[in-house]
Amino acid sequence: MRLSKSIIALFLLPAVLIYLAIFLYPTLRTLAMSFYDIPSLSSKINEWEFKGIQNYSDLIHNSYFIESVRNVLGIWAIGGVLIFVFAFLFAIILTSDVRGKNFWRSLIFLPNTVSAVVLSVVWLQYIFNSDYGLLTTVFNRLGLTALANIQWTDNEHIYFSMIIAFSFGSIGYFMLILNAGINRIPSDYYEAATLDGASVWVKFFKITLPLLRDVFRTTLVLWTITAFNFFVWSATFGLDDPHTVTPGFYMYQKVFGKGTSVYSEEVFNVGAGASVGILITVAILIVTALINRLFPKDRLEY
Amino acid sequence: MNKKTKSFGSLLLAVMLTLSVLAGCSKSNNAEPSAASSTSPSASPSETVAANASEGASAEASGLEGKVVFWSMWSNTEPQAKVIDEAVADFKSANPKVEVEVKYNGRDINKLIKPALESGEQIDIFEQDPGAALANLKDHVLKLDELLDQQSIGTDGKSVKDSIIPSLIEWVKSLSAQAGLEEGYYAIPQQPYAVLFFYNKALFNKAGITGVPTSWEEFLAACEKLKQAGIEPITFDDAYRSLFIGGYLGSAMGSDWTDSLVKDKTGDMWKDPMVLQFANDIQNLKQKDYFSKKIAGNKYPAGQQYLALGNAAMYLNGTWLPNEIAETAGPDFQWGSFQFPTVPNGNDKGGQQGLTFGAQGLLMNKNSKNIPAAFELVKFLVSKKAQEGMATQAVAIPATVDTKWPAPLEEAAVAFNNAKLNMPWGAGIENGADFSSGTVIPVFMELATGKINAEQYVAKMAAAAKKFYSGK
Amino acid sequence: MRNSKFMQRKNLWPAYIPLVAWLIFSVVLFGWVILASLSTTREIFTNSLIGSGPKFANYIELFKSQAMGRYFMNSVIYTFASCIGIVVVAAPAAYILGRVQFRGRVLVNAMFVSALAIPSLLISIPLFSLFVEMKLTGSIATLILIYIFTNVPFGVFFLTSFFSSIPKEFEESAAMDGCGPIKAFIQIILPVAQPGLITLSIFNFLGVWNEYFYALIFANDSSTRTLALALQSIVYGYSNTGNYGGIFAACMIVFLPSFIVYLFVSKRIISGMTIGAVKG
Repeated sequence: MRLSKSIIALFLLPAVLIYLAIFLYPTLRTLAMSFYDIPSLSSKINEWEFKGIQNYSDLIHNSYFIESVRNVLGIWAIGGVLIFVFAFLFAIILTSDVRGKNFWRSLIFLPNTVSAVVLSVVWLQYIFNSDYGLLTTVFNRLGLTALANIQWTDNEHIYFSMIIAFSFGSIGYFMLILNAGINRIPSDYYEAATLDGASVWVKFFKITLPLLRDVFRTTLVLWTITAFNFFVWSATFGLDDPHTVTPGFYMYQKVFGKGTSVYSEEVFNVGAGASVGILITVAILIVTALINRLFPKDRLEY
Repeated sequence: MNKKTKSFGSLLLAVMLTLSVLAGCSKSNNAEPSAASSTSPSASPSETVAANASEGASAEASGLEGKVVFWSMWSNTEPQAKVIDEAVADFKSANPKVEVEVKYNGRDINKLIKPALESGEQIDIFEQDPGAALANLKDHVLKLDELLDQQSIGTDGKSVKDSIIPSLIEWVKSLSAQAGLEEGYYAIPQQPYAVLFFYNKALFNKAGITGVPTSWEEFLAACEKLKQAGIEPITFDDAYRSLFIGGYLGSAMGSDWTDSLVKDKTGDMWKDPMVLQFANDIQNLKQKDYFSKKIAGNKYPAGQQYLALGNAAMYLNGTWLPNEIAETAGPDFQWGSFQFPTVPNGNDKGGQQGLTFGAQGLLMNKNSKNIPAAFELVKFLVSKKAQEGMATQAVAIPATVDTKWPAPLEEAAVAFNNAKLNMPWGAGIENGADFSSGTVIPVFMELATGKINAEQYVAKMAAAAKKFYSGK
Repeated sequence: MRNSKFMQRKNLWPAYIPLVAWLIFSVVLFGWVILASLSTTREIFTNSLIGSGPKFANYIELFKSQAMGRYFMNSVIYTFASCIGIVVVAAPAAYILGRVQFRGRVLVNAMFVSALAIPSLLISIPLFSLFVEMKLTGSIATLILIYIFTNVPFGVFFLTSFFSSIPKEFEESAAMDGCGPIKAFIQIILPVAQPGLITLSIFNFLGVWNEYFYALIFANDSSTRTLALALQSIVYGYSNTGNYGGIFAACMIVFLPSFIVYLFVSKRIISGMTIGAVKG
């Protein structure tokens, strides 16, 4: 579609100006910071000490950071599959003719409205509790003592426990986006297909998926952003345990510290945190580009 | 749409205006520190005002006026905030012309205080861990030496300095050198804490344990008696795993040794016989079931609740523990505490003389425009009455001398008296930063849960240290 | 909504299996939170929730010590103002990016995605310094502007794909009716994009409703404080005094209004969608 330049400018300008004012400066500042040794996030520029790519090469050689990268890729992949399978499943169910759609939709979205900190307390202190927790109780009732005796929050299980708890809280969010996307697909397509005797699966793969391409791509990008910035649950589940640490949480520690003190000789370097932030940003941009490749924008007109 | 752009335009205008104002501001800010840091010229006028104020005794209305802003590290739901509110109210009735603004930031003050100070927001007094504050905020802290000579409130004519527990005020002084500041007092300690074994006296009595263990041998004997009585001896939470490692190694070799252990680039220090002894002793605790089985999966506060419920007998933690689990433990819970027992074959640099202790601190902004009034408020905050309030309402150790300690912490006084050496958190075991969190603590958990034995522990740590530091 | 999408009602029963499973789990989980909020801390950690009967003391204490009503009103004002502001700024930009070919489009698109990609942690502190230097802290207007500003890139990004998949016949017919581009956008495109706008607003609503870091900086007086900020301070304070019953009660107080608002708004998704369907 064509519009005059002035209309384009009028429509775009407020958002672009906001971007320039609010995001450009912090982003560029962070990029610059990643090449310096900096004592605090708010240090004045004259306190910065140039280190070149030292921060980055330190990170690559730091086994704890590498562990965090491995963790986050796992969260992205495993959590992604979990979330998308369920989000899609529910989105489709909720666009069928089930009764009480509004109720179900709200119910599935419910965990998203609760603060992550509080949800973590419930998972850690109730569901995963090895004394009286939900899992232990259920498995005991079923006579599965081996499963009942598992400590779901020990070194071996904490990672997957965390992914499950987090995914439960995120399914509703992605379900809602996919649901809104499916809802906009004109129903004539399905009616025509039904008349042709197409099965549920054929309709899903031939109509829903192709027409959802744009929304699906958006959702994937959103998931990538969410996953790569994974941070709160890492903090509540593992503190700084290497089994659950993620680059996002690693960065948080580098930027705010567990408590810098005159004792710790490891001098506080926010530049290291900034370089993690830049790596996260770059990783997201690369994955976003790949996603755009895989789901090109030549949109289907319907 | 038009409206939006307009409001944005006005914001931009505001930006420019304030930036130009700021340019003026920052100049005057730059000029001031130099005057303040040379202490005598600029400090003396304020000194006389303050001195007059204290001579005029706190009962009568003082000549102080202006506005004082206090950034607190507590959040407004914590009992400490109520005590502070009371102290501020007392201050106001004594100094009706001074306007006081208290901002309860909670622990997020650690993130906000530096940018706020740097951009010149009015903050006259702030609360933070002095170790952190002196490291981060060197350029903003006011040297308090002369102010500390003023008479304190409610302590029979003692100066403020003399009204504070001596080991704490000396500790605060020692921080100034480490931070590279001119030697002196830059913070007034309050809310002191120490890391100790807390135990359930009722369970100890039930198991027939008469005295608190001071040596490792006695400690093992106590564990055995508890076990025989059907009580789980020791538990801890994920948040405090490092304390156990540091407690043992710090007791044996002191925190300097522990510090160099976690920073040893060759990994050879891990082959020290002391590490093997440590690993064997931990393995022993595990094999004899002296550790609660739940330590593997305990997520804070599960372990300490377990202690409060009387299921386990001992828990290594800071002196804030009784307050944190008071709701569960109930008023009848009999608290006792003792220092980490002395470990054999050590180098005499730890033992009972070394203790992880510290305090939160009240600090003042060196650019404060109203130092006399601000310090007067500080005096109310560390007055005997306020510190008694902290003890009774927040189960905190009072910072002032001759003040009654809360009952659950009475035994902690022994440790404070023994302490000659201040050890950092975890006796330095966390000083290895990423190596500590990424390797030291998780591998210790493998040992403590029986996944690896003592020899494997030593080999694994030595190799991991070498590998971790070879990349640097 | 009579027309079936692609499943017919008679063979729908398998669809209820995952729904009911989710229902059971949610009832257990949230039921636990509700019961915990009515229990003492000791009961929570001994698995004997409301063992001595439900107690409302946790709630009473909160309402007594905290001005929950005022915090609630503050949160409502900030949240609604921000949600409207975000849509007003983001929707036109997303419309252009989603439907109009122009030079620099790729760049502008990349700009907004990169704004999302940069961790918000790194934005907040420089912004804080900036606003303190501009002496804009402690003002409600600043807080609302911050919420709008920081959420615009997400809004643009989220809406772009919604606009891009609206059939172009809409504008064509609008053009034939003699509508100018602004009028067409407001009268025709926006209603069609309503499911997207509402979904976005729900996310923004929850994001702003639960946001606390900026609120801490800009609205931390007893008169301007938000519910989320109060919750954070309660979680802090109560976990240091071990009052877990109180934490769950506070969580319920913050959560219930947001959930009720969500229930109310989510109905509108359906109606928004039907408007689109009718016009289509």
